Amino acid sequence: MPWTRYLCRIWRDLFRRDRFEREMNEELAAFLALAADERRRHGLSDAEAERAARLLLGGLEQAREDLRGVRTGAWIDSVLQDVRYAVRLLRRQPGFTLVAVLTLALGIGTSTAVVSVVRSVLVRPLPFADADRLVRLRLLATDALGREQQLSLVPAYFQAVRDRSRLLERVAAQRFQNVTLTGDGDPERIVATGVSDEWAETLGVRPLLGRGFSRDEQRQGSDARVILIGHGLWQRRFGGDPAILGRAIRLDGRVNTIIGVMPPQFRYPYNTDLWFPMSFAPDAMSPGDLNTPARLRQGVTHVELAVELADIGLVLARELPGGDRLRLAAVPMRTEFQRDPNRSIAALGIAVGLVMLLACTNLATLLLARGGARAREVALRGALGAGRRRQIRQLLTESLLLAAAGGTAGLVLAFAATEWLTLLIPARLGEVVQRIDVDGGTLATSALVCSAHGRTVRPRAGAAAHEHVTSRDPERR
Amino acid sequence: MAPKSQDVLQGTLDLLVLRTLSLEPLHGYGIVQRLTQIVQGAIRINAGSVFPALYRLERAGHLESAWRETENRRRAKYYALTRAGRHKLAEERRKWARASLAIARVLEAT
Repeated sequence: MPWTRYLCRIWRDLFRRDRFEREMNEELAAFLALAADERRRHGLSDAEAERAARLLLGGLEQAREDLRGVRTGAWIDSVLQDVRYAVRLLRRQPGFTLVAVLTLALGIGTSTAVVSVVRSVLVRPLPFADADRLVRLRLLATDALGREQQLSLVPAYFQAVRDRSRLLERVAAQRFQNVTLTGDGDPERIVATGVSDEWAETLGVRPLLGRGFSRDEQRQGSDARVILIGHGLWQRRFGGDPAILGRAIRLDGRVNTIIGVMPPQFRYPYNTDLWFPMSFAPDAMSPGDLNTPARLRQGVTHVELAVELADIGLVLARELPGGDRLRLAAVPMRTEFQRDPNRSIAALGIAVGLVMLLACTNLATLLLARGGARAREVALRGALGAGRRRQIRQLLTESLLLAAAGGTAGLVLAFAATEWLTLLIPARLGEVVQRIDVDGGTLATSALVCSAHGRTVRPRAGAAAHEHVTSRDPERR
Repeated sequence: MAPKSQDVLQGTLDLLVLRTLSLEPLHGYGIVQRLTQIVQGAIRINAGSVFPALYRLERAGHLESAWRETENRRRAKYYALTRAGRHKLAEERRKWARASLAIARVLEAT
């Protein structure tokens, strides 16, 4: 049947109920009248004729119910009936309903929150363009006991790799330090990062407002006295002032000019709030400790890069002092970010799974106990002609209603908990995860959990109630 | 919601109703009366299940209905076969023939 015709019929049968009922009653009345007429012609009295006609139909009310049952979309009607009944029932037992909804809300709320966090950390892309091509250069040193250690690069290595690598499109260097910001308002300690030229191109980021550092400013280094500020600092300290560009602020007592604002997700590295140009000439007196992100050329694999870096390392070992115990290596940026938090997030995930399991068990127990208490009601409805299927469907409706209420409350909780969890995220991760959202995917997951919960726990409780009755029936009679 | 599998009796009732209406349009009581006369009490025709069958067949597009006056001046709803209803009748007859043949074979097998 085409669905338009189906909808028309639903309209006629269900929404114009008065008309349906009127016509049905007229038709049944006509049946009774015609049947009685004929019996009168055979010599029965009026009363006898009418009685015989009713017997032929087999009960007027039963016939009406049967006809209502074959209406198009009659199931919609019976579902609504179930929902109304369930709402009445739950409202009559506010204590039970409250406990059940709260239990569900806690379970669903916490798991949704944690799933949100896990998704944000593990699944979402890093806030860099084309992040899969990003690596961080490291030095591997073997100490006297044969243990391997990862070291940061010194400026000489940074310059050497930049000059010699053919497979790396760009290499940048940065070093962070703490500075004191003074000016309007209280002094504040913030993380500032000095960056080499090609820094923004390497990471694939661009200022949200203003411009990046010019070639000239890069050459002058921190003496250029120009800075980029982070989105968070801009919002927090300057109230998101759109006229921020060109404003002067004091850092460690020296005046700097703000030339741009970085986008909100970007705080690399180490929750940086502020960036300034820095020169990393090999002859600089600096001891090293460079953070060196690099971008692979399109289509170059990590293995190819490892081979090239090993070659460069061999050459450097001869040219630079102490180079013979050092090996150059590249670590994919993604693993850099995710290695540490992984374990704690997995632990959190398991803990939350257990909480959810506990919530489900609690609720199942509650419902089973109630199932026993409701045996009488189920028996009565059965005696009045409700079929097993209909009874179980009714219990199912009730549980889905509970699950929906619990799920809604759970989501409210999830939003709150997510805010709170974001504060607990290790600072390291904060670089990547500026905003943790409860997103569509996570909502879908919770919806699934809700309905799965409704479907698995309750019908069993319902069936149990049913069996309970059936098994006890004989001795009751 | 249409039942997924119709039991033999219900399917048979549909066939009987369709067949009766293929001769001439009739109202509910007329169908019951006609069927009762023809089967001569061999099958109990339940008036209470004839109406649901009529409603179901009408909703499936096999029947159409109109209110008319009966010969003894009462208003009643008359049902008539549609084109789809005739196809349905032919199909049901074929099915019935196949089924009864099969049963006869089983019964007569030695």
